[in-house]
Amino acid sequence: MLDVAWFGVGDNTHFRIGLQDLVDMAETLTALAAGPFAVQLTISTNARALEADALAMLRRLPVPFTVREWSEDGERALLAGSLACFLPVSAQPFSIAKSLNRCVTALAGGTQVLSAGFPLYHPFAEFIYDDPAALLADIARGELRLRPDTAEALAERFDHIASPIGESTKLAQFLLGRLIEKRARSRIASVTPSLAIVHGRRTPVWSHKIAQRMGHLSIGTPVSPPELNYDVEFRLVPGTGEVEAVMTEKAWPLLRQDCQAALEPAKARSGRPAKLLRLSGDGSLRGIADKPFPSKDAKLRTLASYGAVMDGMVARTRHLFPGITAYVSEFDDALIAARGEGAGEGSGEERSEAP
Amino acid sequence: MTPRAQVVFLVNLLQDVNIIRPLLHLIAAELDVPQVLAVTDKFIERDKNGIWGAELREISQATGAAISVYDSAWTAYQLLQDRCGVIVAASESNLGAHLHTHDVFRAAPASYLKLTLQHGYECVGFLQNREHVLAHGHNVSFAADVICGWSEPSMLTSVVATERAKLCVTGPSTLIEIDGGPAPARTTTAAGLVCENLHSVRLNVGSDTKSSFLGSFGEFCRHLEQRGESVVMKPHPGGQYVVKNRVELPPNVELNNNPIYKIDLGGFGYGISAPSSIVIDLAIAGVPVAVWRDQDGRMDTSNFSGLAFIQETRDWIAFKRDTDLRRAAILERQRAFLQSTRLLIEPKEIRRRFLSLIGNGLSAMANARRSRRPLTQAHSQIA
Repeated sequence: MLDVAWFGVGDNTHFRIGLQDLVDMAETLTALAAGPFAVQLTISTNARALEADALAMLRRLPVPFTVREWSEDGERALLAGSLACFLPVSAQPFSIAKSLNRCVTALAGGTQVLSAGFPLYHPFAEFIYDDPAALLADIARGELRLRPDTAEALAERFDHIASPIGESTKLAQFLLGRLIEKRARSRIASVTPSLAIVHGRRTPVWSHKIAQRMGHLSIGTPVSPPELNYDVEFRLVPGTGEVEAVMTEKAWPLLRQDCQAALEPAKARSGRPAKLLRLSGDGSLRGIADKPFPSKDAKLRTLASYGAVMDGMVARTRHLFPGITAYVSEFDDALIAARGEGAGEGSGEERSEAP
Repeated sequence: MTPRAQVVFLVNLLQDVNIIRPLLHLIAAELDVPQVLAVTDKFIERDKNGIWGAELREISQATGAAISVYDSAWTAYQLLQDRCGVIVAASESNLGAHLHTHDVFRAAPASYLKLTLQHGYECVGFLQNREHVLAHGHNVSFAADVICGWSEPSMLTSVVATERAKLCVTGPSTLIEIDGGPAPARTTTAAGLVCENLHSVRLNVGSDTKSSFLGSFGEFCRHLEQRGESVVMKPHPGGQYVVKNRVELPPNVELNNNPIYKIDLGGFGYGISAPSSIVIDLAIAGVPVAVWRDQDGRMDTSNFSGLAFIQETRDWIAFKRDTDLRRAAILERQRAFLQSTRLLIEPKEIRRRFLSLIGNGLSAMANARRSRRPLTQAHSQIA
């Protein structure tokens, strides 16, 4: 008696696979059973696959069979008790793109593999059978393809194509490689900025990074975190209430023509060369500029001046960079409300100033 | 290894119980084989007041049959695989209402002989009337290996050509006499038994059929009441029209919802029913029976030709009077009718045929499992 196992997902909502492959390629089992041994097949699959139509179809199998619902323990016991696993694969695109999992599981479980149909498991060719006569002949000789002598070679093959650590390392390398490649490409590609992100008090670093990576302008204000390398940074000058705009080489070519002449050489916070534009202040800003801007936890005082500052900076951004749409990046609900237009509009992570 | 044999009864419709019960008793008495009542979850849903579940437990106790519930072909399959034997269904065909038995038959391992029983005199796939044909068509088929008919093949005009070879005439299983079983006790003084199967597709000939039947029944009851008589109303076990629709019954009506095998049919003086198998049961029991038909005569009653027909209330009353005045003539006419139907109604012969079918089925299946190499050997010889 030859105990043969078939295991796996028996059905698919879109493709005819699983039990269908088993029945379609059952001729291999007929040939196996034509040898000196009776064949007893055990099928282990998911319950969903075992509808009446599927069970009725299994009646066409040429050998006696038993059906079991799949479980991890059940699969282990099945492999331990079977001489061979029958692994038929159809040549439909869905099936030929599959991994070697079932073959690896069967071989790792210590059973012979009898494959049929599409040679998906070709990478294990010397350890498996695709001809039932060859399996019968090897049984007669007492020397099967998977045996203690060949286990070491199989282990090496597993290391090469079926090692979980090896595979995950390769996957990680592949994904990182793609990321590096993409970054390099994005640096080369010159994008004309069409958006400006004007940062408020509570603005995430990624908002700044994404704006710059996508080639848009990231604009600092007197209330925004000072440690970021903005493309344009507005500062308030104490005493006068004037506004200074420090801009990098990415921003100044976009400055409106009639302001170009007023640019003065300067240095950005990072120390990189920059240009500075002095802008007149107004009454509301003068009062604010005289008092140093409060520290992070002084929320009430921030609230008092926030609206005036942000409105002023957004207005100046629009004025200085025509054709660019400005958005405020602010994640603090109270401050959004303080600008007077966020109330009642939900959490408002970003406020669009664009038409 | 010889797989263990078993006889599995699929129980899906409530009325199945009546059909399979005698076979369970017969097998328990004559064959040394375990029996299983494989009950669908739908059966349990339908059995709202638990009458039939209690009947199954009673049968199980009397025959030693195990009870299992299944909710899919796969759960039923698990009761069947690794064993062999015979599976019996009282209602199985490719119709939607029989899906839960049909699927199990389609899926069942090849180590079983599958029997579908004719479950009524007029029965889809065996002998249909016009309304059956309109509702289900002519081509009703079975997943069974053998279909057990009640009458000679020539009379079973609805067995289609592809199913003909499966037909085996066994007669109605309900006529098998159960050894040692107590005879049903007479529990009423009423002379008349009126049966309703108003749910039946056979009554789908007009919107007023049901009210017409119930109207005549009401007037008939008033007539009886004036004479101080009462009547027993028996609803169809599955249909339960008067119960489900809460039809208000006159005070001189006793509702009897007991299984038919617990009712002493022979004790009644007369019976009335629309076309239904109960008409045959009453005729066989030697009770004068009238077949009710609608006033316009639209119902197809042709399979009952030869029996007394009644339509309006006055016919009901006249028939009842006739059962007193001309009882012998009516019974003679019924005997002639039964002969014309070529129904097999000899209890001993029915018993012999079922025993032979199931007994031979069991041994054939066990032998087939023991020598299960013919296919592969044949294959190698051909190759």
